[in-house]
Amino acid sequence: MNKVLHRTTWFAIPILGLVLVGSSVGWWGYDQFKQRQALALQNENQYNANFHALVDNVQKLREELGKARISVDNTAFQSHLRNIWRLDYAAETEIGKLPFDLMPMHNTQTFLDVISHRTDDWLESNAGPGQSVVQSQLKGMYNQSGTVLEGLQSIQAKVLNNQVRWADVNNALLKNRGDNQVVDGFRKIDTATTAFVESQDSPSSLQRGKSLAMSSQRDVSGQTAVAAVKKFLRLPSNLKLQVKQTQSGAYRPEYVVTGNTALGPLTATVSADGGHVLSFMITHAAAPGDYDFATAADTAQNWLNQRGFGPLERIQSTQYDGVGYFVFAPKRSDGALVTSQGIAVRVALDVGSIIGFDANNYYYFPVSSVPPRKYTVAQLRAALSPNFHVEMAQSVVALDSHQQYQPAVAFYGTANGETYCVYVNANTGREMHIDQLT
Amino acid sequence: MRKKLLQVLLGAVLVWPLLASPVLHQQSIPSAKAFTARNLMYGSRGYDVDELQNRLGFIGYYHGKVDGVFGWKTYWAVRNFQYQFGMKVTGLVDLKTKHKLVAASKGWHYSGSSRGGSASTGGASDLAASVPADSRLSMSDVRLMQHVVYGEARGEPFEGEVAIAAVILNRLRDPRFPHTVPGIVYQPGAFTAVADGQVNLQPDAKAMRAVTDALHGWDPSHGAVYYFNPATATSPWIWSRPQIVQIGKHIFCR
Repeated sequence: MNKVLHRTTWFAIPILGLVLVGSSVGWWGYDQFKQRQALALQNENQYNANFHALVDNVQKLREELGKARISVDNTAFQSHLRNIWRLDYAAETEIGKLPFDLMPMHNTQTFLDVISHRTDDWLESNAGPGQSVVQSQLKGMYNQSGTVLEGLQSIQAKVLNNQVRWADVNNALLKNRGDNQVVDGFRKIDTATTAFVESQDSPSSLQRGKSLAMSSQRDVSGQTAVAAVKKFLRLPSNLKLQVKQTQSGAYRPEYVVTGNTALGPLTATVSADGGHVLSFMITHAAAPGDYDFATAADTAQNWLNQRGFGPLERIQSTQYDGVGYFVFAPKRSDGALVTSQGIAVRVALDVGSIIGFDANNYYYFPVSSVPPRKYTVAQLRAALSPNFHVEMAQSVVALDSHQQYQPAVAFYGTANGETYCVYVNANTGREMHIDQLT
Repeated sequence: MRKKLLQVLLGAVLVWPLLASPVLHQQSIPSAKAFTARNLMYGSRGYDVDELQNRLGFIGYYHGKVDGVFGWKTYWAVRNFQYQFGMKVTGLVDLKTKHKLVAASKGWHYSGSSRGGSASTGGASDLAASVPADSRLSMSDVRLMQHVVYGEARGEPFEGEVAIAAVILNRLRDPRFPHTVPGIVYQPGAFTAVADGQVNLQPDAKAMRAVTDALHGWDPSHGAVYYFNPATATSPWIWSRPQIVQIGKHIFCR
């Protein structure tokens, strides 16, 4: 009897153990599954919240565009513009939270960007509802917002009625399947807005390579590019350098010249248009050194002068990681500095050699025509805020938000315990923008 | 006797950190009156900038922190000093300005550097110095970029890391993308390092340097707004983007 019990026990222990382990694994697995479900649901809800907020914002935006069209009172019109701008900004924020792979598929973001820039301009210039340009552009934006809204609402209906999950949207995007209703809906918006967006000249900040300033210059070969780099850097002619051209996706064709110099590995960029050395970088393991910073500034300027860059003035100087970094602006015959054409030079502070150079802005954004200066520095200065204590004034030529060169005066000074630079247009007398420098 | 011993001891304690740095030893102890020989200008760093700030503060021209960094406040103080003392207003502290300043701040005496520091240029990098004033980015933007660069491209050539940072900056200027660095970084699916949590790793010095170089205008991606690793890319549409250049494992496109 005792023996039988004994044997049963020995059988029972592993079996019981298995059952125990099995059920706890099962319980753990189920718990994990539940947690994952909860997370996935949370994720879905987040996407839904963003998407529905987007549709809502675009709808309100359209309503506000409509009200602005029939508003005749100047003050009320400005308040409609402010609402348009605010709703537009909110919609752009929501779009940024939708799956990234949807982005290139629809022009909604670009469309919203056009609206924000335009309202911004109108608010700035105090545009009235009576101006015919304003009216015709409002009409265009209103019509287009209808197309976008229609597209978004049809997606919304599918999301709500057919229980489309965003996880499936993501999957469809990953597998490039075209049968997803949401993906399809966004594709439709794209075809509807492309024409509008492309016909608008949406100004954005300096975007390198998009400039066609050098496109009429003659094409140079890769070997010419290598020779240009060697001449620019005073490298021995027998030094081996590799050259490759950027692929077809580049905005403008450029050569990338690489190799090893005494200071470290070199990468240089040469424009295929005209063969200008646009920039170079030597990866130099800089040690903290004793090369004097102020001397380095002069070294950099002399180095540029020796390479044919005319009168220059230093507009920026800083040091980090054993490198002195200086930016020089070309000086025009009237003494004005072209601040948006800054040429950057990096000096290694252990040996005092030039290890970096960047003249992209210099070559890609040449000064074409500048409106005449109508206001003197003293006149502009008198109109500044009494809270702003001016320490220094400098005539400059600067790009405005439409990428047009404007004559301006940069007033450097202090207020609120900080240092600011206020750019005032010397042609219109209006403030262009303010940089906080500290 | 005892007092003297104490003085000597105290002196030794005060001088010790200075002895440790040979440059300091030579130049500042014998003549607390005359800086070093080098000129100081906007962007200069080192203990002689400390002295400049102290002296300017002593005579009421400088009200900021004594931090050894020649920034805007120091610049304005120098210019105002030069103006008041009938000198040419340049903002550059040359020999003449130093002589005038030393004469004007006679009552000030060097009492030991409150911070460690050296006269050598370069030196440790700090985050504030790595953000160009006109870039309109905050330090938290820069930190976030360092994390993305490290998470996405550690193990890539340095240039490849700079290119990732440049892509973020290019997106910032492109109307098709969110207008803030956090918006770009945390857009769902935009960066694999964000999706798999690698973005939370502590970036190394190389990644930080890469971001700094990108902020200072280096763009090895030639204006790219997308990039992918052809070996692991899961999204088919990425192959349809016009390609610009390949750096390391990544193909950059627009």
